[in-house]
Amino acid sequence: MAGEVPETFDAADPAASQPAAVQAAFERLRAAFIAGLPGRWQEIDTAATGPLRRAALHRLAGASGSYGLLALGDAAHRAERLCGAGPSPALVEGQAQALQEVRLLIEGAGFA
Amino acid sequence: MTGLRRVMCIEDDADIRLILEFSLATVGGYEVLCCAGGRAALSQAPGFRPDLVLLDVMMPDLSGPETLAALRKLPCMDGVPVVFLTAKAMPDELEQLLEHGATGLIVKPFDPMTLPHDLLPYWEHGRGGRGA
Repeated sequence: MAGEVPETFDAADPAASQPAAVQAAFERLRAAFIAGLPGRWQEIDTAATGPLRRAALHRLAGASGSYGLLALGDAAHRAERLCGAGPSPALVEGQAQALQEVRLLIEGAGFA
Repeated sequence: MTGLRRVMCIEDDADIRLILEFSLATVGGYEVLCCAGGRAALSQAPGFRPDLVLLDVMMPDLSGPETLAALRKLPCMDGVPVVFLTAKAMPDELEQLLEHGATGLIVKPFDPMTLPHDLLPYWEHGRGGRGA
């Protein structure tokens, strides 16, 4: 019944508690999300304003972790925070580094 | 026993809506209605009559707190738990969000395999609030 935890639920390894069909459905969603990451980077890279870039980074940070891409989510969250800070020279360098980290993680094939 | 059945999700990001629907419908077995913004949710809530609402904080049309305030004026939302979904993790920011009257908070990234389970305490809290 909805709202009840399955008897086989294992809190220590919740993914393994799910039937194979559920795990396969998740893998399909994850693959589609990964396939869309270059478009996400384009949106971040070509954002016309700082707030638009921050919003794109915020969405990436929020979604990546739930698809199992924890490093990318953390990097996007750091970049979002830095891009929201003031325009001092030190921060500009930090912003560039954070964005570079996001780009490298997106371009990397390690999580495909 | 009456379980949690209908969950309304309000989230502007399409990829997060997809994973929410997967988590709550496929993993949790709930009936799920996903809305892309607060205005859509306000128009669809009376027909859907959610048992629980999962509400994103940062959205472009109406923010999460603005949406929550408007939802609370709907008769169908009387006593319905509303849980904020937020990427903001600073303790003071989380406290401020709860002051808007939400039942609880789920911090992104959430685990789609455990989210249905994680919502149950908020559902129980809401049921208690209605005297059930």
